[in-house]
Amino acid sequence: MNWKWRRKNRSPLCKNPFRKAVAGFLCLAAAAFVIVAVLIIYVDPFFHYHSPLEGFPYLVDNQLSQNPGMAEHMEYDSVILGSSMTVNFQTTWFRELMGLNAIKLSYSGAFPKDQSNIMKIIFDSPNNRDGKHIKKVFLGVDVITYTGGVEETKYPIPEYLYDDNPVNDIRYVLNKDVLLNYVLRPLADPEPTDLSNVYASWWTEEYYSKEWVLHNYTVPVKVQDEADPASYVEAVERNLAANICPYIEVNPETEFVVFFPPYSILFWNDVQVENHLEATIETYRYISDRLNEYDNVTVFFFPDQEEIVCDLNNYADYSHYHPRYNRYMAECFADGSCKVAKKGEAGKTIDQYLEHMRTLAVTFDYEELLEGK
Amino acid sequence: MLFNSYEFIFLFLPLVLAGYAVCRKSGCARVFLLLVSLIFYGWNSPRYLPVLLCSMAVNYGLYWQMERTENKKGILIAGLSFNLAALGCFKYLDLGGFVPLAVSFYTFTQIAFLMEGYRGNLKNVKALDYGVYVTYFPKLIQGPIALPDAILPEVRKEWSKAEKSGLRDRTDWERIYRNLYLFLLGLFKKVLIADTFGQAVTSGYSNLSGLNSLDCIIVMLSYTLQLYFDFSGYCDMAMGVSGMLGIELPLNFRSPYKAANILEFWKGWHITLTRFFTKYLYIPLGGSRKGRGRTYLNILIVFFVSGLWHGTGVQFLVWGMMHGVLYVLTRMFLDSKWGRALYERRKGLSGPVKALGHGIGVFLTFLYVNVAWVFFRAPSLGEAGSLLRTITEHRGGRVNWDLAGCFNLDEFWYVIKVLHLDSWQYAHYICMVLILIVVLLLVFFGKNAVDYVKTVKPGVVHTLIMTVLLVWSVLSLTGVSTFLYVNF
Repeated sequence: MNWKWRRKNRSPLCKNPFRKAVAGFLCLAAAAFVIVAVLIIYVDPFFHYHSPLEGFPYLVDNQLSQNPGMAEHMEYDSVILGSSMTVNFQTTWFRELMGLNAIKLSYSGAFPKDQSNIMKIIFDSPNNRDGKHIKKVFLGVDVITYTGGVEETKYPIPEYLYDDNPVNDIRYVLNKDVLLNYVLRPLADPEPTDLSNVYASWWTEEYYSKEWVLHNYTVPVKVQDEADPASYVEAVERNLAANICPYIEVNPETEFVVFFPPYSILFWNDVQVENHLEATIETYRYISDRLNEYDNVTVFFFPDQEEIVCDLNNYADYSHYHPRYNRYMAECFADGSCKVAKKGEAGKTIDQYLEHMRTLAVTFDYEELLEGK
Repeated sequence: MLFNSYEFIFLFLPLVLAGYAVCRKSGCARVFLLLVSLIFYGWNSPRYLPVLLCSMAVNYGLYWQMERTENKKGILIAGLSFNLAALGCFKYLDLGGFVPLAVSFYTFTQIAFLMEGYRGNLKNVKALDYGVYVTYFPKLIQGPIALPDAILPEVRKEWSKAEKSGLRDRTDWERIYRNLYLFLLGLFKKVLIADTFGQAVTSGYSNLSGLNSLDCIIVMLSYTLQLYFDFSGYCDMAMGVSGMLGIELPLNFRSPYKAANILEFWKGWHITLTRFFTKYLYIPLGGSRKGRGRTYLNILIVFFVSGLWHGTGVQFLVWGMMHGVLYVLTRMFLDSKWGRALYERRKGLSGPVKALGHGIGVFLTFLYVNVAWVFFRAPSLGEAGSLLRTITEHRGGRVNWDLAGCFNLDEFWYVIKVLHLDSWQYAHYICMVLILIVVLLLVFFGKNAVDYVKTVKPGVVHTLIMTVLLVWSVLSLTGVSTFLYVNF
């Protein structure tokens, strides 16, 4: 059949402008989708498919979306986990002080389930396979978050970045925000994130002042009935059992450095006004005792550091301390100060730390502090 | 499943179009439609599916009985009681948040069916046809409320041999093209326009005390535009999808904000709901046959019930009655001799004077509808009052930073950057002002999407426009809100 013959005898349908337009539209749209998807997969700003490209000015500012990819595809031997209490750690300190190649994977306001989600990815990653293992996990513990539900996360997580289902990745590879803010914008206006100090808080020096803290502080509503000292323990126990302990148990070669960060004395004022001082102290005790049972866990206790917590000039609000105390804590991790002794071990026990904490919380002159408010 | 979702656009729609073409050939189109409609309905929340199926079984059973008995009235009363009681229970009783998806819409669809059965307008409707009539997915979730006379003939029509054999016809491709275009316009209206205004509305209502008068006007206007683009965008998508399948759905919106009085507004807003109320409430109440007083009362009853149907708070009744009262006043005026005289005089007018009169009418109607929508959206009467009070208090100042920020879509950042406008002190407000102006121009002077697609000539430009509409909308899908009308 020669070509001319075929051309003459084409059905009228082939000349149909509507059909041509539909076909043209489908081809164009498909091409556009493929280009966008290929570009996003190639740059991979959430590190979902591969490690970072050499020289691309990646913007890293989204904990929920970028932590899972970083955990999966970056190279590291240690991890910093926790809430906003951990965002001001610089990973370079951990190399300098302990020779560790650490990565920071903080989640603001993290609940235990958030820690569990990211630990699952960390321990399944190539950094913990084929003869390699995670050396240390630094886990900041905010006791209050351990009293909530076992399955609760602070924010709804973008599931498509956390699961292994390739189909729902369409939400990532055909996503305007990803394309514009994380692929094109860094190219147009490159300001690559320094991963050592990623997620660091925005407060500049002048925010760390007593006046600023008190200006934004509101005393909570007074609660008349005191909470039962054991009231939180059950939820805390469930949270540890479901979200934390399993990772400690199946990774005996990894050392878990668990630490309680130093909130300002205003935190303890709240605890007393809301009438749950003993319950809070019991929570600290339970978590410390429960985790210290493991050989591969070390617990550090910072909440009773008087010179930090009693001076509001060290804070930007009632709980967030100046980055110099992140440095201080990193130094303690290296030299063992503020460590909680295990049972039968020499050193300061959790009971002694908590006794000091209670005395400090109860005897502090809050009235004088809040006078000028 | 939502139309504006990846799974609908990339999976469901192509499979259904292809499957339907095949099933049409083999004669099992209706079974196919019923099946895919149930999948569509149960996709995100299968727990509502049994409620829908039970409701359909009861209603069809009643219809079946009605065909075989003399006492049709008794069965109709039983059917109405069952449907209204079920609707009332789900909407007004607290069943732990269990409100079946689209319950208001499928209840009305079934009431319409029983009414038509009672009136003797339906003969021997088979269970399968009934199933498709109620569940037909393009209109199941949010309407248009297709009455039996509109959809049953479409569903039951027999395909000609040529039609059965697939897309052989030029008209078939034209139909696909125009309806695809309509779907894309609807998708864009929903995802880009309605959801952008939606963000401004959410931001405004979450911070009412911090707003000044201008902010409140923007919030009020934003909701008016959000609701229109959301709902009419959804209906455009529904008509487009259905049109691609070869089934025509009734028009639900005809540029309502171009109306010069409230009567015209209701001829263009949620047309199928108005038709439902007219046929099954207003006319049975006597309509306009029992004198003027009774007519006005009937109108008020219709708007009261409409308010009740739309939501559970008192503010919905206020909204309904605001429309009802103005509707009646306008009717009274037009029925009076002054009204008639004015109408006659207007007919004689021409040129700028007529245009000015019309413009004033459109402006005042739009203003009134805006104020009424405040009651529709505000979480409570108090908050509606607070927003309207702030507008009248002339509280000055710049537009709220966060509110203006809702209009700053990421894609416009590049344009502002390229034009070096980013350092200008008003840069933050550019998008808000431009979007408001363009969208208002569209609303007042643009063609209705349904009319627009009828006039399009296929060519490169339109193919490019369609591609942009689809790609821009799909890339914006993650994070978009759900439809406002889902809960009604």
